[in-house]
Amino acid sequence: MKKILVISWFYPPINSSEGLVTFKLLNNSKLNYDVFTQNGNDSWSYGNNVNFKNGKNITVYNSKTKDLAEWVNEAVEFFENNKDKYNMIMTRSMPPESHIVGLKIKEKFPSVKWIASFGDPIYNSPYVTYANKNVISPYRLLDMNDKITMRRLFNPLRFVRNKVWKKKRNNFLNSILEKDKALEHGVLLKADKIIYNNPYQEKYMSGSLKEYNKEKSIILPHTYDLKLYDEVKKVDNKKVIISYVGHLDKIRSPRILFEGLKELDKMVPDLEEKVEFHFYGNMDVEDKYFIVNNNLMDIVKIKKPISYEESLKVMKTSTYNLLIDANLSKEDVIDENIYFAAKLADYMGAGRPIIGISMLEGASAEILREINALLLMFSANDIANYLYLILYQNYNFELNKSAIKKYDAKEVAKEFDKEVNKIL
Amino acid sequence: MKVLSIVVPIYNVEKYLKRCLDSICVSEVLSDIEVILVNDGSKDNSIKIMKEYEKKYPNTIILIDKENGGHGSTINAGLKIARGKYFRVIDSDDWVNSIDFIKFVKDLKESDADLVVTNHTQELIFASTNLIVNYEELTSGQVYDFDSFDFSVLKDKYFPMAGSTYKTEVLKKSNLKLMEKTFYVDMQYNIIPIKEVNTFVYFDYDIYKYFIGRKDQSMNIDNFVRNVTHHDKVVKYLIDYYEENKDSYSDNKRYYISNILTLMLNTHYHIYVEYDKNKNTAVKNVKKFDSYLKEKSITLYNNLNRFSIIKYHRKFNFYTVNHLKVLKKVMFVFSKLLKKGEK
Repeated sequence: MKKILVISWFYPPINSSEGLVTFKLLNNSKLNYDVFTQNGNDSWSYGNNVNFKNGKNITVYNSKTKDLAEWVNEAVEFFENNKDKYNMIMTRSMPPESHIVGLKIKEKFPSVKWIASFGDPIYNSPYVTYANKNVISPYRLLDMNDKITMRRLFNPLRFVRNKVWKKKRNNFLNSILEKDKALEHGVLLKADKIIYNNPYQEKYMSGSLKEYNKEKSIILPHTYDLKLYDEVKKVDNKKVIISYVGHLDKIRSPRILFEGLKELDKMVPDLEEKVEFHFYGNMDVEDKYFIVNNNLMDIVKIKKPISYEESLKVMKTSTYNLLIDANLSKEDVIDENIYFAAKLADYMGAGRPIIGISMLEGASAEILREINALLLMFSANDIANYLYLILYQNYNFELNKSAIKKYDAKEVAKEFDKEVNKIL
Repeated sequence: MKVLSIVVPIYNVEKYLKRCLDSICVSEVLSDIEVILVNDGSKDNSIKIMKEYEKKYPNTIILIDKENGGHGSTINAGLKIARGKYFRVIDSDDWVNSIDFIKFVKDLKESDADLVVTNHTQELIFASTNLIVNYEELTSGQVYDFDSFDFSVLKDKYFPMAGSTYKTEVLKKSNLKLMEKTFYVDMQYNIIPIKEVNTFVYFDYDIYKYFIGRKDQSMNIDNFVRNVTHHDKVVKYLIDYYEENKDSYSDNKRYYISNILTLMLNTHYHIYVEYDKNKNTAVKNVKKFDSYLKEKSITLYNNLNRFSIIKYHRKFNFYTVNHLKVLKKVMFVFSKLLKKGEK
């Protein structure tokens, strides 16, 4: 029986969300796979500490290169040398280079079936748009920092400099956008099936592409795999422990939560005796300053980064697990959140109640409502009030067990196998 | 007797309703309040959520399920059955700060003022920020005589629905009946009961959290333009109401109400001259309205001249509406020059 070649830059043991999503899917599938990946480049600092064993249906081939461009060529060569073994390829981003491999293979071997699986959009990523919107021209900064005078207001030199800066910058950004657009649209049009992790992502990526055939779309949500969770002893915490596992930055920032904690701390006398927030993973330095400057150190604890296996244990022993999304409506970037963070599925597997801070419309919000998690808005007052209700008014909620089954890796893999069999 | 009746108007708010009810239904106040949930013909799961909460808090929650009649109709329906000493409205997409709400209900037990004023916060969710509207000019807990209080200290602040809790009998005595199937009727709620208000008290509690930013919200700029006929209807009703009743008001009440109306009229002109993108119809409509106002109420007409932009538009017979950007720039430069001159 022929196999499927999976091309993914990230795959365990490298501790990357992208690789783990693929790992859970393949290990619960009944089909056979070769995975072409690499195990040397951990430049995105995800750590290399996962010891999950692959099932018998999976063989992993590691490239030795640490360079993405070289890896692309090696992946194409690997397929060419073993093409008789495979009747299908599957490419998984991020990074998007795995799809470049797909495009190259499809160009040389048009009869090969190709499934392209997307983590995030490549073109017009709302994250990038948001970041770019927050860059201020150095010539405008002068306006903001200096005293406004009539002379400065109507300074033609400043005006021209600002215009030139903007033009140069827009040209640069547009050239990147065009490149990303060509790649993403190429994949959407040439692959036989496209996997999205939620319908909002599908709408965002393919909605404006007229030539796109909707029949190609497969919505496969992120999953939890119950086999990966160790049995943990019930910890009798005196305080409520709310844990966040994963990466945070300036855009996906916990600041609004900390502002909520600051508000609540003003209103109740003993917050630090009631609750601790544990953060595992990167956090922007300004958010760390905020914790210190507002005396929240007894409430917010920043922990060392941990492996994926460890993180699953943390999720199981926490009183609540916390999801924080970026507020991408802030700069009118998007009205609906197109992201479904993989950690949300892992939280479901842990079975503890989930608190999510997210946009009110879109993927996360819909899932949080569906599984009976608590959806908080990007409002310090909303966050403070619900924390008060939880900590002082015995407000409680549980995950809807039947609703989370949809995200079980076994169920999702069944769907995937069905889709694969349809096109083979 | 319950201390407080709360009416929660509900129309297609399944995404927001739980937040509102969770914040109100806290154990310390459950026996003191009645929460009248008025379903205004929702087509989503709102009714299911209402029933869940009714089951959970049977001695607190009362459910009314009626055909769609708009925000005003839900308040009318709630007021009809309200048995609490005080009455207030909490919109179902808004919520309260539970900590302050508990203190507020306790204070209401002791209060005898006709109107109880509290702070509110505008929650600009999409910008992750908020704006607190408080009354630092007032002393918390002090009872004021409405007819002798110097309202000029509040400048352009008044007591909006989000910050007002009336005695139920005051509302009933004032024969308050809000327009049905019409947006912006909260302005009726802010004005009509005032004739029966003799005293008011201010509590420095930041209770009401006013959610701003939903696309279908009537306060959204695009919806202001789309629903301008509703705004027009309410404005005209209140101009007539003011003109018919002004002689029966005390000086203070006349000042207070005309001030609210002037602010509302300013918004009305704004909808035409700023928000409406079709400037040609905007000019036509605003000119027509301006003549109407001049004819109906010269006091309110003249009051509006305190807003310089309206004054300038009038000076140029609203020709400037088409050149609003230029007008604003000229005014900005003038104000800068004036400030420089003052220095």
